[in-house]
Amino acid sequence: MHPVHYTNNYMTSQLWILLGSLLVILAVTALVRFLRMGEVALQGRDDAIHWADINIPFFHGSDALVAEDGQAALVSDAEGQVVLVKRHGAKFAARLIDHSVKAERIGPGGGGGEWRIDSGDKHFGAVSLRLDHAGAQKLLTMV
Amino acid sequence: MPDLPDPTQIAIPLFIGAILFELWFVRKRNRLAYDPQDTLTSLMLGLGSTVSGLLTGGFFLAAAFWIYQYRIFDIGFVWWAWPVAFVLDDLAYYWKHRLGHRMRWMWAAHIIHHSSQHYNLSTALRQTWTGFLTPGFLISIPLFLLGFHPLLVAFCGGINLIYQFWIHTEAIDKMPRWFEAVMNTPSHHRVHHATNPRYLDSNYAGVLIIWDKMFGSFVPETDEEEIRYGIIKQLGSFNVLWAAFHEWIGIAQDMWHAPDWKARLNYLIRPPGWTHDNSRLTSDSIKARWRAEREQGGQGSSKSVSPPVIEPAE
Repeated sequence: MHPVHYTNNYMTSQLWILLGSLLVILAVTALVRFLRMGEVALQGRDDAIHWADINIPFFHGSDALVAEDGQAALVSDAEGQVVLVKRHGAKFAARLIDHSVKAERIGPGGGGGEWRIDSGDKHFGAVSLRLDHAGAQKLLTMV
Repeated sequence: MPDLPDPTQIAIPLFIGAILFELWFVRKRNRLAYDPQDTLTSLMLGLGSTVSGLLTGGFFLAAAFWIYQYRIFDIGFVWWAWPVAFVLDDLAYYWKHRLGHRMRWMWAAHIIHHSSQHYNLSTALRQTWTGFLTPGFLISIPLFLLGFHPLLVAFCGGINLIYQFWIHTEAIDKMPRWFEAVMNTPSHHRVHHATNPRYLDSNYAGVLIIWDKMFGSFVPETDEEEIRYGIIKQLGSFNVLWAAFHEWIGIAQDMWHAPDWKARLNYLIRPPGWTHDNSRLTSDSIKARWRAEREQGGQGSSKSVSPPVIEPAE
């Protein structure tokens, strides 16, 4: 078969496969959601430190502030560096944040309110933490 | 000339069936093995890769046929050409893949495959959208010049890709010892996808792990620490377009801000993380610091050994 002819046949069949694949993708995703896979939350201070440590090379967290729902945290080290941790799928991703970052109170949730912290990375985005009163006080000493 | 099918097309139902089986297998053993958003992203990236292949594959096939005109031997489709081409194509894959991790230009296309923090069969389908923008094709040219037919090589490449699908899983621990010694396995490939310093830049094999053992890049899986998957600076985003193109954007930004042409070139050909002012970590520097910390007593030595954290490579 001539190479150009071969390529044309190949592309036509691929288009049909693409359409079918799209439907299958949506079905598999729906099944994963239906099975409630990947539901995760930070289990406390040590867990948050663990995720900060493994996300940021050579960062060794010593203290952490964990959101009430376990979906985000702030972790600090002995040198005063602060890492913002957020849930990403069934794992956690993190960014080292600089001291120009400000915490902004965006709602009344929890005893200490709901706070928004911008990671400074557009694609990582901002993270919200619902904190109790003591947590909110601690937050203001970290950022 | 035989009318060869595209093996990856035929394997699509097998891929879907295997993902469903893995899902069923892990649903009670490890409920964190899958996540809906991560799965959707992986599968959409796989779909995008197919579209990219549709749009650019014909060009590379035509290029291969053009080069094939200048072949040294006329091997054709004789029976022994199949296993020989398969092994040589696997060797070419090894070097292509190794460069895909050690040259930022090629890493920009390959990073998509490593962009998930999860490791399951859906991760295998995160394939490149931009491989056609890299010089990776050049590594296969000797096969065509030797006289292996482009369709035969393409078929072998398809079989190679299909083989690599099943090794993207945590559901299989170790295969029999003889198999682990020769073939790429889930255990070897988990190491390849790991971001733990001890595992960085290792196990580039496609099908045969012997290439890593031969060229010094083999690292066995150990029980000493939990594997963490992904890239050094995790994306933290499920944006499909960002996953596909972020490293290209990073290269463009670095080249734009580079002080001279030498630095611009180096942003393309040096390993990921290289910068003209040493402001980021590379896999080499991460491994060196990790070894230094380990020799000095591990985590507790952060004050004595580690300077403040340097921004990691993309």
